[in-house]
Amino acid sequence: MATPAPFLSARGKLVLLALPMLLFMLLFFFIPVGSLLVRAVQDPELGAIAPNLQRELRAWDGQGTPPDSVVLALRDDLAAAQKDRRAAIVAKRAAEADPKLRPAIMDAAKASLADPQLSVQAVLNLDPVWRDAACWTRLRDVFAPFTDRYLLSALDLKRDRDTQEIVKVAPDQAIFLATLQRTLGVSLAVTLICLLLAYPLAYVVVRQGPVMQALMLTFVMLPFWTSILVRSAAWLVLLQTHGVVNETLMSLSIISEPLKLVYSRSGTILAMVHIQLPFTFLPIYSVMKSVPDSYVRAAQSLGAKPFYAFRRIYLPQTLPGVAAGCLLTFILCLGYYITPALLGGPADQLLSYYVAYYLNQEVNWSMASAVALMLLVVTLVIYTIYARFVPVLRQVEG
Amino acid sequence: MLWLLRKSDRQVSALCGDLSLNFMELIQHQKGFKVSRKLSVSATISLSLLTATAAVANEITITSWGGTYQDGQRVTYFEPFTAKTGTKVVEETYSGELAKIKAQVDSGDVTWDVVDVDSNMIATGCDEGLFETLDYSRILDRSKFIDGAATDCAVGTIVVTTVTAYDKTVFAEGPKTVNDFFDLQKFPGKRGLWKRPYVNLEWALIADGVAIGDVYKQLSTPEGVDRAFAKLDTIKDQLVWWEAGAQPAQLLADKEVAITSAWSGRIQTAISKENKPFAVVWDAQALDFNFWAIPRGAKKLDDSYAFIAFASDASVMSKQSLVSAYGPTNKDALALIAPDVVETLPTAESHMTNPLVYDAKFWGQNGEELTKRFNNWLAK
Amino acid sequence: MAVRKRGAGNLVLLAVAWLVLIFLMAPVVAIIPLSFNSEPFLTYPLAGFSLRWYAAVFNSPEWMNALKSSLIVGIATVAISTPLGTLAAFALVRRKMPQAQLFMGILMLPMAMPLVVVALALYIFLTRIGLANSYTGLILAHTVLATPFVLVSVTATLAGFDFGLVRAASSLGARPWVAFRRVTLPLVMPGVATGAVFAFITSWDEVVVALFVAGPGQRTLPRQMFAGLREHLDPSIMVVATIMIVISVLLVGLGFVLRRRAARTN
Repeated sequence: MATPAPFLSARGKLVLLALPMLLFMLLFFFIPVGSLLVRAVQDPELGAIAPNLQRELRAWDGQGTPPDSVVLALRDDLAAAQKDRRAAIVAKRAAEADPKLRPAIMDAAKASLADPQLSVQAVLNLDPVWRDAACWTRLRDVFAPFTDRYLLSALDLKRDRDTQEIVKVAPDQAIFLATLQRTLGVSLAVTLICLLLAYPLAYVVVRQGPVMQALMLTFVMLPFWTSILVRSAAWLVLLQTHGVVNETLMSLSIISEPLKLVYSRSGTILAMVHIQLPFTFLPIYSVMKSVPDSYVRAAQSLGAKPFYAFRRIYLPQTLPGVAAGCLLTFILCLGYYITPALLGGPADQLLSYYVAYYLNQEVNWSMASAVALMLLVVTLVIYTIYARFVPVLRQVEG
Repeated sequence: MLWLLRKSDRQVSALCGDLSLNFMELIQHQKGFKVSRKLSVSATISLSLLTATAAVANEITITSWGGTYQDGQRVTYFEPFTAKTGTKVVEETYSGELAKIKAQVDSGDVTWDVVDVDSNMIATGCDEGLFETLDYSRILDRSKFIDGAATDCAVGTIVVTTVTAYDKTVFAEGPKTVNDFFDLQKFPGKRGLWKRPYVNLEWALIADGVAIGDVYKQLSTPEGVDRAFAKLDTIKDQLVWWEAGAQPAQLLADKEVAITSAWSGRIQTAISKENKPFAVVWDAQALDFNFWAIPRGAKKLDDSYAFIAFASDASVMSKQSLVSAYGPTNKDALALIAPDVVETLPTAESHMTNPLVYDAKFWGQNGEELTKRFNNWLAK
Repeated sequence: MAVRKRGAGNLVLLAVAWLVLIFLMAPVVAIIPLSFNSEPFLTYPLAGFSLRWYAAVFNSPEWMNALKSSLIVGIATVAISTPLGTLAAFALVRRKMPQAQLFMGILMLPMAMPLVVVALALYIFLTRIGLANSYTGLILAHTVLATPFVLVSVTATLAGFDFGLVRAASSLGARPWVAFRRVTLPLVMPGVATGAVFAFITSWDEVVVALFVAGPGQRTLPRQMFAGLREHLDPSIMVVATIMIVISVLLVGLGFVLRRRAARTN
């Protein structure tokens, strides 16, 4: 823009334009979310509940039996924690390193609260765990400032309790990688289907007269105004075994057995496509709006076959819309949770389900953060690869 | 030329943005209306400030699960409590997000005074120090509650049970036991189960011949877990999994399943209020509770206790069963309920011949591992 | 128009388009009769005709308040996120912008983050700054979710934008604001409008963040819909959906008539 005597360089002005959004997102997204996701490697709670124990354990070198100061810190901190009903948090976290520690810690907490003057020997006598040096070393690891336990767990890995080597978890406990793979697969399928449906639709809509265009756009947009919950319910009504679609097809003798349209993968994908289609459609449509037909016509009048003209002239011009619509859809699909839960089959849980599960049910925020972090990293990697091949951001001069 | 560009694209853009822009247009078109609205807004604000200062001293926030359940609580508990004590009840709803309670407790800024929680939340939340340890001398003697309802950090408010239910028009002679649920020969057809391991694994063991009292002992061993999954395997291809509590009744109504597990209250409503031809099998019903709990660090402890004490009173509690078919937790309340209503409740004597007492503590400790295994099994 | 010239191929395209539109509309159409069902079950055939759920919604202060909250939050979200996202798009789309690709990726991350994480993180954050359980907090939270949509839509449209036009207008003597309003804005309006629609919808149909961040005073429509789902799918949600459909159809119709009239007087 032509401002006389610029005191900012052109670059500076551009940065200034982007600054409000960058600052806003920094303040209200990256800082809050970042400080939650840090929990994937660091559990702030244990240090808050048992600060002395943490300090003493860290001061100890972890070799042989711990000094008395560690045992006394354990006694005092657990007694205080038990008073607040928070000793169980320590027990639960410790159980992730060694299940034997859970009952031992709970017993020690109760005993210490009952008798604050318990001697070191008395504490050690409470449970065989406390006479086992290896258990103390494990407890020390639990109180480490940083841990890779959750990140490993999100990759279906763990550290062997004795050798500390990274090993695979038992096959019936390995769930995250398979779920991640499924999440990516479903998202990809939904994105492709959306593209296949949205592109011709946009192509047709853009060529209609104003009245028809308004009508068609209304049809695209109306589902937007209907809550996802309502739409899921509607799909059930339409698609279930004795639903409208199956009954109609049966009465027309097109099929003899009801089709399994919901409570299956196809149900998940169908409902997700329905939700995402407008998100794919609108960027394509708004870009097509700004692409004049004249180039294609010119190419055709110069003898290009219609398809050739479309592929070489029209498609490249509309590609930014396709790129934006697909990226939008794919990325949004990665975070899906409710729709697959309501319409999907038994094997249709996506990764977000586990994030919600750990956040809300297990209240293990570290594990939830680790899973979310994994999803985030995968998204960034995919974005980077995608941006290489597709013009996510086609920059212009000016 | 510029003018032309502008014109055609205006039209286009307006079409695309129709739905959102129209709202803005509508608002803009009402400039005359703005003045009067400003006035009325300021009037409302000053009014609400007045009332707020008067009421802030005794007002408690109670959070429950919303919907018809909370509608019932409003009539049974909230309004009578306000009428009796003058303490206003501000209602909140949630869907069991324990994380929101934890965030409040961690921040020290607890805005919920009393929360309606389920037993799994208590099993986890109690261990995580999310709830106040209750002083029963301020509520009601522990012995007045039925077994399992009076816990250290929560007081049972209703007995909820997971039962099996079926459509009477499908089976002339319906299933009678949980074994029948697993019997595809005698009772062919699809079955609905909750897409969680809870209760499903227990029932599988019972149907496989484990005595009801030994279920959790068995489930604590790897062999017991294997056995439960092996039993579920026998009906796996006939299973339809439900997610929300509203679904089982809908699945039966749609004939999507012939038998389903369900929370008893919802099925009873379908039978009594909506005349659906459903029947409940009470055998091995999984007895469980919903509780009142106080988030740790709640600021109006006196009022919170006053409310819980009020809600635990036998005569108050007995009215809950009139609005929804849940059993009371106060032993004295059952006697105050009309016999025909009692028959629909899980705690009616005739239904209590063979109950499974749901062990939330077990699930609190083993839930994560079993959930992973369960989901792995589902995906296979 | 090109469509009329080419025969069979375009008929096929038109048929495909209508099939997609029917697919989009099917659940919407299926909802409307269900809102008149006399039973609380969402099943065809209907058990009988009844207006009981309409009565329930219109007589319920909760639903009316929820509608009000949703509109307030939705409109405010659009009002903040649209300029934020549009300005950023104008910067990111220029070749001179340093690290544009990286910023674009970073600014889209909120879309990929599972909503529960955003919800909890924002709840903790807003509690700390005293904005939890307030309209402001909820609007800020929804703006976080909505702004990336605006950014994506506007950058997509700007990719075909010729900034030379702006320079041309300026060199012809147009002041920056005039050039922006009369040249730039009309051309990018489809993208901005798309972004605004996305922003509104993001807020309008968002339940997870609202569940955490909003207090009793800001219960939005989706929250009201999801409340009680544990136990009972309230057919009132079908009524609310039907009302929304009717309102938006009326608004589209109205907007269309108004614009036609304006075009004619021009």
